[in-house]
Parts: sequence; structure tokens; C-alpha cells
Amino acid sequence: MRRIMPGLMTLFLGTAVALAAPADRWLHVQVDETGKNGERVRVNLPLELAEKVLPAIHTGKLRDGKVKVSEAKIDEVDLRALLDAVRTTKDNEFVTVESNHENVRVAKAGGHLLIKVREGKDKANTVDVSIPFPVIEALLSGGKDELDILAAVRALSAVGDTVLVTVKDESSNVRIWVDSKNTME
Amino acid sequence: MSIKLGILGGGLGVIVLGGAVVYNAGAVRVSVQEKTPDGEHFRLVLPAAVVPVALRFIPEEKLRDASVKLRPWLPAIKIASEELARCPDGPLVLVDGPDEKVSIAKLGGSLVIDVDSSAESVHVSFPLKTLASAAEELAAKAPPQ
Repeated sequence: MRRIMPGLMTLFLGTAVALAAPADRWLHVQVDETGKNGERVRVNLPLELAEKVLPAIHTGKLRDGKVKVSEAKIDEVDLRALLDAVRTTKDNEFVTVESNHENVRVAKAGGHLLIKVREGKDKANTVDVSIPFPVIEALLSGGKDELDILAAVRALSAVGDTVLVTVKDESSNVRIWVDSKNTME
Repeated sequence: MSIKLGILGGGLGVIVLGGAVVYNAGAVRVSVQEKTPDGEHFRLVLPAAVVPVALRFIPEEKLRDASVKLRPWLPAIKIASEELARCPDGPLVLVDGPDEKVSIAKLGGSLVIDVDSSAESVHVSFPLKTLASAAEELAAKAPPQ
């Protein structure tokens, strides 16, 4: 029994570690164009691939996983202070715009920043964006004039399965989501 | 007699080992099928181990030009191919349009690209390790910045 116990413990711990290891996370993009000649596009990207590749890209405004953005666009509003204020408040609706042409709603719910747009005839064209706050924080964690894409990808890897963007209009349906499956649907 | 047998055995061993290396390195496969009544079917199967050697037959100037143009992307290409090799097999990209269907997938250590149109069907597959080593070769050819 004494000889068997260390072997059993090793097997048990090894199994526990293997089960606890996070599964690969995948970013999926699905675009379906409507109409007779519509095109169908599917993209599956392992997030770890993006994490490893982004720091190796140094071209244009993208360097070391960060994108330079116009200082003027970010300096007009203190995005970090605004984000912190939104993050610490209770779930709430912050902006609502209703007009003949479109309805826009910006809200916080369940740890996500939600943006919903309804426009067009019968408000049939829809845009739904749901970004987990850790991802937004990571995106803004770089310098004042840059977006840290790499940090945002890492944060995205850590959140659960989530649908990030859904767009439906007369010509196409678009869906972007994250999960642990390497399939296209 | 024993010396001759030893030399023969050694020679066979090198051939077998070399064959194992070539086999394990996989193959670059290209197939183009024209969709006309007299359409041609072009096929190429090249052991991937030969690719780095084949690069050396390309004129130095052309190789240098290519490496200069690709220089910003070579580290990313190398890392991407290494990381893709680690990922499970599965589809990566699919574009299905009225005129053409393109699919890119990872299968058994290789990247597989299929393009199907009304004019022709093209199939290309190559071991991801080949891409990484080709990127290294090109990076080595690039003149210092």
C-alpha cells in the first residue's frame, strides 16, 4: 500500500492539474450577406495565437500590441475616469437617444458595457455590442494616446463565453463571439 | 567481411534515418485542376525537408528583395506558424461566395488551403514547420537595417 500511494497521489494531482488547465479560447467571426449573391465568411482565431503574434508586429501604428490613436480623440474626454465611474456604479442605463431614425441605448449590466442601436424602417437594423469591463479596462491600460490591444486580448481570454457584437441589417448579419470551441458555428 | 558489413549497415542506417527525417518533415502538396473539358491537372508533392534547400537555388537578389519586403512580418509569421502548429486541428477561415469558395484549415500539423471556383480547384498544403523555417531563412537573407 505504501508503494502504491505515491503513485496514486501523482496520478490524482496530475489529473487535477490537467483538468484545471484552461481550454484554448477562440475568437469567432461570422458574416452572412443576404441576397442571391451573398457571401458567407467564417473566421476562427485562437486567442493565444493573437497574444503571441501581436507583440511581434511592428508596423504603422501597431507596435508591441498597442495601437497609437489620435491624442485629440482621447484627450477630449478622460476615458479612464469615465470608465471607472461607470464600472463602480450599479447596473444602470446611462444614455438613451430616441428619434424617428434611430434609438440608441448605452447601459451597464452584468459587468458588461452594453450599446444597442436600432435604426431604419421599423427599427429593423440592429447593432448590439456587449464588452466585458475587464476588456475595456485592459484596452485603456496603455498610455494616454494608445489602445493596448494585447492586454485586451488577454483579458478576453479570461472572460467566459460571450457574444461581443451582433449586427443585423438589410444586407448582412454579423456575429463576433468568444468561446472554447474551434468550430465555425 | 565484417568491415564491409559494417559499412553497408552504416549506409543503410543513414538512408533509413534520412528517410525518417524527410517523412517526419511532411510534404508540400499543390494540386490545380482546371474545370474545362480538356482541363489540365497539375500536381506537385515536395518533401518539406527540401524546401529550405530549394530556397538556396533562388537568385540571391530576388531572395533579398523578398526578405526586405517581408521583414516586418517575418517574426510574426514564424510565431504564428509555431503557435498554429500547437493548436488543435480545425477550420480557420472560410469564405463562401457566389464565384469562389476559399477555406483555410489546420490539419495534422499542416496548413491546408483550398480554393474552388468555376474555373479551377486549387489545393495547397504544407507543414507549418516549413513556414517557420522558410521565414527564418528569409530573415537571415535580409540585409542589416
